[in-house]
Amino acid sequence: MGGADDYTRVVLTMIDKVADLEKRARNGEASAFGQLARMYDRDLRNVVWSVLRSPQMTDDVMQSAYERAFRNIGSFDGRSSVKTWLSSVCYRTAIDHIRYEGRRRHPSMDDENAAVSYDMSAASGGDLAVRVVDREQLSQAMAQLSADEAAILTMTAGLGYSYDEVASIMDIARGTVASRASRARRRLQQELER
Amino acid sequence: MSDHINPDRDPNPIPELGDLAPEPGAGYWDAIDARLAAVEAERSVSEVESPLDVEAEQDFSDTRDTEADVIRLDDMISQRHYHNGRRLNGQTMMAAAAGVLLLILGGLTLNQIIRSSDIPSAVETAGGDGDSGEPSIAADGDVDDDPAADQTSDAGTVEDPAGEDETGGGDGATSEDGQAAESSESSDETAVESTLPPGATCYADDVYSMVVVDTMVELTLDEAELTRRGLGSGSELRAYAIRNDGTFPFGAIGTYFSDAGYEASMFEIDLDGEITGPVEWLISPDEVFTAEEGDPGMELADCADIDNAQELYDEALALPSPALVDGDPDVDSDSGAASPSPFDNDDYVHIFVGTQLVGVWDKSNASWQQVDPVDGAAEFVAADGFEVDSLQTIGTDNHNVVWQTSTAVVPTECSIERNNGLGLDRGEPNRLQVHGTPHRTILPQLVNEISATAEHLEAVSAVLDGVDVGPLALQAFQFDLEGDGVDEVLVEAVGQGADGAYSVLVLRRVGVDGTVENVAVHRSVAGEGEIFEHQVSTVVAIADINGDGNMDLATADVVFEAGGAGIWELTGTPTKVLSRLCGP
Repeated sequence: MGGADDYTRVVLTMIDKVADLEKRARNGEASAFGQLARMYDRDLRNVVWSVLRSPQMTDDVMQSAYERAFRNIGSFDGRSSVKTWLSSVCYRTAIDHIRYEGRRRHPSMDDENAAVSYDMSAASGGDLAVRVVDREQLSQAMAQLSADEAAILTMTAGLGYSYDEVASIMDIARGTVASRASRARRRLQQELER
Repeated sequence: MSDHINPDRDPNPIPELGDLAPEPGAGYWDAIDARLAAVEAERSVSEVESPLDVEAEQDFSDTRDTEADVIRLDDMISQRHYHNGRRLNGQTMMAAAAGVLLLILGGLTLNQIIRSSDIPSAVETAGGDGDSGEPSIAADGDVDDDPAADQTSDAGTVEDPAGEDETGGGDGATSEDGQAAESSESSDETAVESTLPPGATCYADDVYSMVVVDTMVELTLDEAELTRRGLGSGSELRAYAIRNDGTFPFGAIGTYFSDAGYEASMFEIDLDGEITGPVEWLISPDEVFTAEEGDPGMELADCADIDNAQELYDEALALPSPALVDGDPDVDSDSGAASPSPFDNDDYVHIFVGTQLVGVWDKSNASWQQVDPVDGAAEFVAADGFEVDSLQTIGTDNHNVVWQTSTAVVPTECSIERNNGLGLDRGEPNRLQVHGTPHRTILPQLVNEISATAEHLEAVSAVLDGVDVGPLALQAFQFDLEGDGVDEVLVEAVGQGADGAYSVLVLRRVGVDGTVENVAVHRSVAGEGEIFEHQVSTVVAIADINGDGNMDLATADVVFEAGGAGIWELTGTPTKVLSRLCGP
């Protein structure tokens, strides 16, 4: 019980802390916004990465997205979580970027990412009939998906976003998210089986 | 943990997918912190007096009036275009947008645009109470529920002198018009203040609201959408479409303001459904936001349900007109790339068919002008316009109409061997290109290539009037000639019967008595020994070339050892208004 209480207290403290950061960030405090960014950066980066597939572009877009978000944080109305809102800004900025640059995908892979191995079938509850793939294989397979498919799969299956959240982020219907996620998963499986 | 049982989430997570992104490079957070600090610093400077909308309004006023801002926006557009790898699309957007943006900065009012346009827009037709020069929003609200009824109403209005009375208005110009009178009476306040014209039609969805004012559209994005896109509270989008007949995607440009400063956008939207996109937003010279193609579009809505319909309209009226636009941003007028030509005249709309500059439409005099062959080096630098791909080559039901901006230097001499056609190679299928700077009222409308039927064959036979038809190639094109909601069909036939070769163009339209009549547009029959006079004319495009609201016809013409093109007006008695043949 005590452990649970401690856990609850820690969670509540974190919630309070996040709420405080949000409030300060909305009041224009750059350092608070910076802390929020650091909290969510891993997930947000993965959203952007799924679209861009380039380390340098991901860094650039993330910086632009954070600036854009902070510049406009006063308009964040709190109807979604700040993380969802930031994800939306990041995703949109990434999409803008590839369209702006006139390129659909940039399948640039880093060798350094190929080191870790995964058992996808175990990790994903057996949904994917995949044996053992390493990170490079997974990245390469993901790179064969469209930006939308990769982003949806990353957010739903990889980051645990709800369908509603993804629908909000990508500005598409919830049902579309589910169907595209399913299709993306099939395509990923096909790519991995090649 | 709960992800596996929450139906709102993926039941089979693949956590590895959420950890594929590499770690950020060195200096990543330093750069972010610096950018955030810069924004914070900007805010602290302007915080004392920075209500966004006030700033925006100020910026807008200033921008409209200063040459510096014109240049800046021009540069922005060019830069965006430059950065856009999709050249044609960039051109398309530029053509649609650059002029309009410059117009907005020009000085005349949108009202003048509307008044100067004599195009009977389908939207206007659908507007319902055309008898009212001063309708209330409510009186106009049901325009889309019963288009047929609205057309009937409009038809009646034509004969009703009261309908032309600008002040006669919705308050009973027609005593039988109980609904209009009732609407007017029941919303006195609105009626007094409303200046929405009878043609105003509204569209809306949960994101957009829009007032269509004949040839212009104003569109706003709601706050939530702006927020979602991270564009900032208080941003305002003003978008103006040109020649919206409700059936064709249109190019438009808007401006909005936020704390990021002056911004512009351009996009294509199909009023019937979706953004046909891409919807590209010029956030700044360095940033472009592109909405997704297929974003939900707008549906017809009751103007009374749109809170700011009147405001949108009034603002639209306060905006400048395209009449002052001069020059294309993609064409450097100082470059000296081409020598002046007798045809380089801003009042002229240049019309090309295939490899031929066929002639011009003189906007100031509202007349066609034949361009006779010119010896020497007179040249024309094409600019802003549109192009209609050959019907024979596109392989779809519809014309493929694209905006086209060209900087090609076009010799005007008449030589069939020369490629005078803005990049067309000899042997390429004919295309219609219309170029002017600007000629915004010239916009294409939908044309469908339809399956030829026995009725069409009968129409050809009727025009041939006893001449043996024999084997023939038959094509039929359906379109709304006058924009009155009633389609006409143009039938093209080229054949070889027992009496000789023939070429026929027949217009099938509904006559005054309600029956379909076959009107000969072109008829040439070459019996034995008559081949030198025989002319084969085939359809290149059907489009509103001179912007009078009526569809015109462009043909490729072939005679013995010569080729050329023609432009035809199809209303009333079809008339060939321009013709050019080149050959030895």
